[in-house]
Amino acid sequence: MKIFAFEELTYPGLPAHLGPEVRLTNRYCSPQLVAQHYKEHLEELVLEGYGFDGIFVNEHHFTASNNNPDCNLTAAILIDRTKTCRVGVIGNIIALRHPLAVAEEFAMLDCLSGGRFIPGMVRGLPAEWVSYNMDPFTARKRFTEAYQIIHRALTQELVDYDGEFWNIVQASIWPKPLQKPFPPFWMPAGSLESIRFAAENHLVACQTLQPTMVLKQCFDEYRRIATEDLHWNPGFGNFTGLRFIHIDEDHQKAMQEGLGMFSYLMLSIGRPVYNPAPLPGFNTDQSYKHRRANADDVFSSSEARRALKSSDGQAARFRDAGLMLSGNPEAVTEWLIEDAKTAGYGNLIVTFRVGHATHRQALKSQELFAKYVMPILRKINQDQGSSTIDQTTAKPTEVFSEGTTDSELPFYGDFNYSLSPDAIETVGVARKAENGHVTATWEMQVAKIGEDGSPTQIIVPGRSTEHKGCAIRLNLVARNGTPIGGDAEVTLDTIGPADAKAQIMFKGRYREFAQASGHTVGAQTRGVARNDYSIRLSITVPSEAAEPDLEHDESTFEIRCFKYLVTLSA
Amino acid sequence: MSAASAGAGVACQFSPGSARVGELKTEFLQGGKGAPLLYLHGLSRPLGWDTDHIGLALHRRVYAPVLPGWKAGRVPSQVTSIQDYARLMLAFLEEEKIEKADLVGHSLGGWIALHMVLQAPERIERLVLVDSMGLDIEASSATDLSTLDETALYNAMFATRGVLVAAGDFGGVPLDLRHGALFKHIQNGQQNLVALTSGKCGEASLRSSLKDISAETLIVWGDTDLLTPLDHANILASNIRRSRMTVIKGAGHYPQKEKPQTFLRVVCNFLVGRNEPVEETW
Repeated sequence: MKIFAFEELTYPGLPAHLGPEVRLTNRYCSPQLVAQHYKEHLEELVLEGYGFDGIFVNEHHFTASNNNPDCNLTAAILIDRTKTCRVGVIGNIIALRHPLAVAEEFAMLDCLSGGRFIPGMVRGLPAEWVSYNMDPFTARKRFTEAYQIIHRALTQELVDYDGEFWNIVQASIWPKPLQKPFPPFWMPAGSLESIRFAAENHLVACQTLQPTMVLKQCFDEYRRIATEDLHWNPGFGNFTGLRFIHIDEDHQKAMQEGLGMFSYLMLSIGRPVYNPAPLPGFNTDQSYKHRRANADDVFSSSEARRALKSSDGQAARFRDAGLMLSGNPEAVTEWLIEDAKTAGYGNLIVTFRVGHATHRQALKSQELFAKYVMPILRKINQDQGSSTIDQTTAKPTEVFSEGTTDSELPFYGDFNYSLSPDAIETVGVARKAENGHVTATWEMQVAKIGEDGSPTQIIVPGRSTEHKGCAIRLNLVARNGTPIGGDAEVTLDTIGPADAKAQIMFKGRYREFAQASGHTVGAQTRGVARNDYSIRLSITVPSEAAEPDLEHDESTFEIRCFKYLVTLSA
Repeated sequence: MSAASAGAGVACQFSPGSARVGELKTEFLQGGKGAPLLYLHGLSRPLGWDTDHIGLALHRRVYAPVLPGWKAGRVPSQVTSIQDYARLMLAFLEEEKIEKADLVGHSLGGWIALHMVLQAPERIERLVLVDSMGLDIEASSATDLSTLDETALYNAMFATRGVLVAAGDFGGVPLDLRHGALFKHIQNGQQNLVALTSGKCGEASLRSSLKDISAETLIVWGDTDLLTPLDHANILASNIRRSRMTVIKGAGHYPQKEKPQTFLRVVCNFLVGRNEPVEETW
């Protein structure tokens, strides 16, 4: 099993007398206390010395329970303070942000960390949708669209997206991530829809604050969908349990302290917004169908309870409900082994600073966990062979263009202009007969520099490793409307006003066009026609052959090029 | 449902109000943004600004009155028929200066809504009938509430046997409908209706008037409703000219409680004129 550290960054200074009837607005927030708290949390999270596989941070909004509304910021700090462990976010509320901004930040974090970053995403709590005043009925669709855009942005060179909420045209993020393929996202998956989404995309499903049997039912459903419907086999690495933990050598003391810590956490979550009833729209009525098969197990965790030497009392109830695990190292180890084996997860995220736990308590708890609990847990639920989550679960992703070896390259696709007989650059046709040959030419002229000094360039891109040059379409007929012969010589060139050297962008036979799909071939060599340059598309045939009639309606051409206009004026 | 939504923050805001209609006081909750919508409760009065109110308030300014007598648990002497409640609710609209409103009536509220739309068709924009009482026909007579004991009443009302798993902030939340506050209030409503109609949940004369309803109408029904059987939904649908019907699978007389997500998708799609299929319906 892989083991990760995590903290909620719960605000520590809430007055003890506050009841749940009090709205916890920021009138209770001391920024000085938060500043000190950030320092302590970051110190606790930098746990490489204890051998954790990684560190996670998360975000929540408008609540004292989590003072980390932009977890990408804290992830960046943790990346800078660590060298080898992974750093992840679990996660960004992607439906409430611009997905390209999220993709850019994920790519940055991956580069900053040297490829140690783990991406994560959530839909957010209903209360967050209340404060952002968003329509909860759109939550799942927004989440799905955002994920698709982010994933494409991280794995493709260019992103196009036409959705209900987002339209993206030809976006290419900088930087791009270091890891290839980009590792699967982690996400909470408790509802049927989320579980299926995670399985379909080979994501890592996380569950927390639920009894062992609920975790088991969620992960079992993921496995069933993956194997039966999607025909792939998830490993332990696809499943993550997150547990809130407090450890002390004195078992009773730990139980007592843990109870207080979790009660404080609940107080801090309470009533962040005016939210009088469960918010509709986040789920469907089918979302928790998989939990109804055995309601007793789901809600009492009776199987897990029976397997343990359970003690009475509130602390034991919190533990078996999956809310707060506290005790001495032996008791914590025993419960976690049972939890992980029953639920079947291969990643454990542990958080030690729960509620109003102190810095000292958190550090001690970590130390005891690392010394006594972690070595035992590591041995269970290991995937055979390659066991790293990013390798076992990674979907094949689209490759970047520099790796393309496909001989069927596309034409240059970034054109923004077409030269044609109707283009403003086209000044007319010319005919010249000499040496037993006739040459017919479409003549084009790039404008002189504008009155405001704005220069123009018409660039005809030639063949490259990424494309077969700018598309040139050519169709020629003779005066009587019959096609001309394939031996006709076609030349596309440009020549400057003074002593500039002529550039030949294409030279070949007309049969290349006649035989090509759409009468279209690629430019061979890049050419740049600056202000006052002329561009010529010439066709030369022997005098005795059928001569192309460039003014015939069916004689035409199109050059899909790039027109570069540098505007100097305001 | 995204286009016209006022947002969750707005939909969660509500305020209590009180209107005096004649000698009777009508207490109500109101919230949300948009065109007005009157939401008439069934046997149980609203227990607060609940999930169904929030869902409707994403698209409408929702008025949820408590029928006079339903808070005290005793029908006032001035009210002797369902038509009286219909007149009271029309007067309530008048008092609140609502010229025209969408009208959602559940159960008893549906029965009242039918009389409202017949008495003042010009005041009703769209009509939604949810497991509505009102019909009493030979082939499918109206239930007599006076004959149902506690167990029979529960079984007639709900499809759920055991625990209902509802959506909560951190996942599924178990609800026990049988022993919750809702069922207690339904039992209070049962007593009120016995006092008002001797327990009968419909009237024979209403069927012939259905053809006079011109409002665009949605009929929503739980497929296992035993209190107001599905036959009644079919009769409403075939007699109200501009009507359509949606049946919610796995729900009884209270689809807004047993299938709240499906219920709200169906009703809000109708209100905003969106033609989008909703799972678990037919």
